[in-house]
Amino acid sequence: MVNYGNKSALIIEDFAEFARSLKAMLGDIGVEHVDLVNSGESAIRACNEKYYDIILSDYNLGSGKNGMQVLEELNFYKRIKPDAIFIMTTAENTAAMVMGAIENQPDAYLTKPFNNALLKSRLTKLLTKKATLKPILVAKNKGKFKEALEQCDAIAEAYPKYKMAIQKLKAECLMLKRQYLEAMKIYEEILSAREVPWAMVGLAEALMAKRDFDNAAHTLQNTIQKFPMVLEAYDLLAECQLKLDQKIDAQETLQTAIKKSPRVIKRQTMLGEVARENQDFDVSIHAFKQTIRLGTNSMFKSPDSYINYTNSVSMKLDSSEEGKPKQLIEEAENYLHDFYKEYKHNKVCKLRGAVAEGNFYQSQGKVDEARKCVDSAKDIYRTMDTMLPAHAGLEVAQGLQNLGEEGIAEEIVKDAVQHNFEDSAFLEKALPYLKDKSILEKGKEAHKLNSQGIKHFEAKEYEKAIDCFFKAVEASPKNISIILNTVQVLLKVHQSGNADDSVIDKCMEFLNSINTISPDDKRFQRFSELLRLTRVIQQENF
Amino acid sequence: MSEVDDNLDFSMVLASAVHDMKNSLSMLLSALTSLESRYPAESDEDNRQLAVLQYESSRLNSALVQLLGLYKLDHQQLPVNINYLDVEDFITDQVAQYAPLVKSKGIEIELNIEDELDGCFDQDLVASVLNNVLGNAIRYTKNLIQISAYFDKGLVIDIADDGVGYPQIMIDQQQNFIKSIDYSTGSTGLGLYFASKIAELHKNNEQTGSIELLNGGELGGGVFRLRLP
Repeated sequence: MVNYGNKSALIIEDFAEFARSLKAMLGDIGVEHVDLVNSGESAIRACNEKYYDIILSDYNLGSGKNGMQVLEELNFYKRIKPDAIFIMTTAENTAAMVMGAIENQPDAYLTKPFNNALLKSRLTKLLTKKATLKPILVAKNKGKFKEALEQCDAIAEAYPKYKMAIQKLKAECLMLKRQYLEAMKIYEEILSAREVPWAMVGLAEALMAKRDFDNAAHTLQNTIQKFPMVLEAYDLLAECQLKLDQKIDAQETLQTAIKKSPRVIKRQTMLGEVARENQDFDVSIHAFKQTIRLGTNSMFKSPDSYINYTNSVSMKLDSSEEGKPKQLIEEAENYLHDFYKEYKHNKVCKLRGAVAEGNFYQSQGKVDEARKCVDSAKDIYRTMDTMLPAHAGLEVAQGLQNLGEEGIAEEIVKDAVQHNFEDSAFLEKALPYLKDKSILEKGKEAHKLNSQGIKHFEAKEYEKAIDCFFKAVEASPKNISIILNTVQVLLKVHQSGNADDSVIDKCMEFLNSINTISPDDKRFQRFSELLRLTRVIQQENF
Repeated sequence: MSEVDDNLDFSMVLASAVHDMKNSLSMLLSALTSLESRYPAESDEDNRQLAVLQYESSRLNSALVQLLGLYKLDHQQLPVNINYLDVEDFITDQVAQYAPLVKSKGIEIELNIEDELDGCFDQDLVASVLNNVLGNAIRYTKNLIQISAYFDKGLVIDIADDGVGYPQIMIDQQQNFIKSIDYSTGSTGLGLYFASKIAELHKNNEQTGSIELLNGGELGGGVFRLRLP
């Protein structure tokens, strides 16, 4: 039986009367520790302070974040215990608006009105289920997928009632472990009995991971035909269509999904980008405008929205034969103003803004203003103390090239490519802007030397290993990943007593050469950790 | 694009009106529950009045759900979210919703559900069907309702009561009651029409869900049968 006395609950409800009545219901059920908040923002704060066992959230929370956004954010920051339950209350049937991503579903929806008998019935079942599945959920949450899979088998055997839920968890763990074929087997087995949306989407994701975009697209089209409200299927289908170079179809797919559910930043961003590539600037501008608007309450608020919007406006102005639409120009000026106000302390944003603004003026034929922006962009770039994130670098380079600044554009692209060599999706986008292809050869050579080094290291041929690593860095001296790999192995060699202290000095030198890595870079944490280790070893030797 | 945003979308208007009305109903019901716990019914008459309040508000709720559901169905906007569900869990939830009414009316609900039976259906939509049928059964039964669930080429849920059963004309001409809304029959027709539409949204291979009305059964009253393949 569930012991409600030791459970804590959070009620997220903007309607004070209803919040009180919910609290009374929970009291009747036996839950004594109940906190009330009336907005999504205060819910996030409450969950940052403590972990709750039960969260009851209304979907509709007035002007701020809605219940789905709250759940998404709590999941993202892992502020919900794996065995806690999240129940979404809605006054409406779980209609279009609440169909979020499959991995971001609440444990249950409760449609108002409901009484405490129903609430208790639902809570007891969910808490019992979560308690049973806890070992799987905890292991999965910690990234221990092997253990989670073992638990899946053991628990499925003992509790056949949860068979389906466990199959789903199992497939998710296999996907995370990159065992796509195994995951596919589970999805296909379920689908052979009948078509369920999560298994259809899961199968498509596995096919996409195997780069079988044709079959993935086919599965997704089938999903959409049978379950037109599974919006995730549209997003994934658009992704497949882009991979298959069907850009017009991709735009259409996204537009259909947006008609059903417009309030998703990621979807609007994707539409804005695709429409821009299709030269459909009006659609692109509108989509990016939505991303700015939607960002207001969201954790996905990003400077990208403003820059993307401005760039699409500039492209429209460039391409339009008739006069320049005054209203659009004014609107874009206002957004640029907001952008600078919002991000005035961020150097990367200021640089991106200056380049986008320069293009905006150029598209209106205002040469002098454009010139000023270019000069200011160059100033900011010369005094940057951190590396540009990959996509910002490419964007700035494209913008500068468009403004006739080929030299500096080439320099920026070259840096970005060297810094982000392992990001193949990025490379694909950056290549057309890279004139000096020799750095690609050098990068490949560096990777080859790097893996040779690792082989030598594993074979305990330490001298050969060190030699390979030094040569790798020499070949591609700005390649962050090569440098981090090199330092990591060199430290290991040193710790095993097979290298002298000069290796440590070399490590320090390598790390210093990339110490402008941006704290936003995914690799920053690894960089900091290696730097800390190297310093510790240096001090010990001293 | 702005003309699209400015256009009055009737389904949104309807949805938001229903939303408000359901919020009001929630408040009414929870006020009723808290009054009841503070001032427990003292006589049969109290119980009877309480039952009227509970029954009529849940009927109002069903009607609102149906109204919005049918509108959306007609405009191909009704989302169907099929998932595997434990049938016993699902049915006990629906029964729990009627706990106060059942208590005030002194009715017993008996469950007869096959072990570890799972079904594949849209939880919300089927819940709104059962809610409506269960409400009717509570209204027409003498003192016992039996809900059975079993597998017979798909999931079958029977809701049987020990009342006088459906009028013979409804049994004989049930296809007419189900297939169209006959305005002269009032809400019964609407409920059945809604139920059959929801059942039809559930498809598996070549099979389609359906509803059926019977008289007799173990309890001798009316039986509502829902088939979900």
